[in-house]
Amino acid sequence: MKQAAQLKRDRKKLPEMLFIIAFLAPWMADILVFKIYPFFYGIYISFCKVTYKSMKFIGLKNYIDTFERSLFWDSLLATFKICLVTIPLIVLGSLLISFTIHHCSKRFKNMTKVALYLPAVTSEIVLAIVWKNMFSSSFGLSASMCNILGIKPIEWLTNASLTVPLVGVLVTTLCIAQPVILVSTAIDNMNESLLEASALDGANKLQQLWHVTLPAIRPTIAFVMITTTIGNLQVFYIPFLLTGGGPENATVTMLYLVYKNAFEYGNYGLAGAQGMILFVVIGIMVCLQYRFTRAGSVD
Amino acid sequence: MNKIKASFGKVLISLIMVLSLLPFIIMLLGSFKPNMALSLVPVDFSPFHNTTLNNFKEVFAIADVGSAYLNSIFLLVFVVACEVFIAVTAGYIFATKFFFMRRWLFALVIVTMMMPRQLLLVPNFMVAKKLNLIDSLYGVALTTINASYGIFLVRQYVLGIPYSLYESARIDGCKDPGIFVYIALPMLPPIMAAVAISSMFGVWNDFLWQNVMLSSKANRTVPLMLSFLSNKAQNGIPQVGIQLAGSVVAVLPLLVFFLFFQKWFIEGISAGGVKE
Repeated sequence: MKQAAQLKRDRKKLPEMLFIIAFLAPWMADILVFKIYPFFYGIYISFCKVTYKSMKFIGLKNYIDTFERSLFWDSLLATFKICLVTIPLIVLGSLLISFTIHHCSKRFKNMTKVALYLPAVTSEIVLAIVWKNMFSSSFGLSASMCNILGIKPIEWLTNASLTVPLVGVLVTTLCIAQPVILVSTAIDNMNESLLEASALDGANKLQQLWHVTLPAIRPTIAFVMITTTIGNLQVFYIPFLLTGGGPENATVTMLYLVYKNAFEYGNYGLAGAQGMILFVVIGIMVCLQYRFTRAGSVD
Repeated sequence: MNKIKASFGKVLISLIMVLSLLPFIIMLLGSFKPNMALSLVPVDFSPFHNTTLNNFKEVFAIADVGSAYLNSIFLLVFVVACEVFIAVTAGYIFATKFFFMRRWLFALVIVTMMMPRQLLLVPNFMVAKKLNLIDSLYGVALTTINASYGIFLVRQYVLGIPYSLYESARIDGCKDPGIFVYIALPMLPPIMAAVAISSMFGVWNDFLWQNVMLSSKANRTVPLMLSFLSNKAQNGIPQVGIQLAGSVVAVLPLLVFFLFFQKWFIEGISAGGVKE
């Protein structure tokens, strides 16, 4: 009797089950074929020697090769150096800009955000074309400026100690908009009574900033730091399009190395292994990000 | 004193704004100038004399702008339509239904949302090769679809619709498909637009993946056309004027679109921020 009732309830639920399956099917199909399958296939590739036609299992050789080759460590170092420029610049810059525009009119605020966001929605190739024209040492703006000043052209793109900071600064202009928008929204949403209370207690502006405002927006700052790190660990476009990895591989970043190994040298196995290493590094950062975002607080 | 401080801040911000707009100013000015005008001493920056439309004529002559635009628009429409469709169907289910392994499946959405796609560049390419999708616009479109963020947005949006609406429809005898079509769907256009806008620039500018996947000339998209133009040189002299004119041709429509809808973009970003 009880079983019959159970069965009846199940049958009643059958249309609902079908509905759920039908609505999830497109997503499931997409994710199975183009996300999950490539992920496991990528793990498999990283243990194989892959040529255009054949594939042979060779165990850990790709990983050993990766760690033995100096180019991998160089790319790690290059990425690290660029991040060393971009992350402080982006975090401090977004704080500075947000605090400065906080008291300005809404229109001015919006104008700033739009102007900063413009490079982010523009194709990187376009920016690379313009930047090449600005920073080349043989033609373009920088060269002719130097000419006017009567000094030797600055070798922005051929002197590694200038190229790395330059790439960092350009990457910053590309991705500072989102942090600015997030931080300034956080400041706008802050509880004003905290500031009033601290003013009544005799805190000056600097003390307010340090002891009230900054702690109040700390989650946002942490979020910005993590997302910036995730983004900048995979700097690719600007070195690829502007410097070509040069001078002397000083700007070959990790993702660029993966690209080179796969699509310039055809060594897919090695590139797959390096991609997996990058995947693990960024996976750890993503776990951190998960804890700070709204997405992490579902249900 | 405070006034001076405020105006100092404004000057500082305006400077930063000009710096961030500088590439666009140079691009616009340079595209109307003869080839090496920007390399002259002193720089010939004046927009009033010595301007020419030759660069644009040249761009249209050597690059197939029309077909590049058609290809890019096809990609954009295909990918965005699929993403909106998947986001609406899956997002609606995640918001309204309880089912086996729901939490795990939704965790999968979040993971695919946060994991950057470039990381699987090589495996994605190998899989595309296996499935015979290389050098085909459909192949690029299918492999570019990433609806995770859209699913997340739609789910949040549907959670904001009072559940009693569905309940009363159910009491009136409406079944699940009917509830979706007559109750939920009419309320979704705003979030569908948000999903579309949030992904369209990524698709349009996705040079890396398109460069890897597409090789034949007929399949050239706008970013690929630009990269073709940017390698143009004559007697070792880069054709800067043509490159800049090509850039203008490639970005102007989208920049106008962005300026028109900028409020949506900025609100979309603040929405994805930190939990309070």
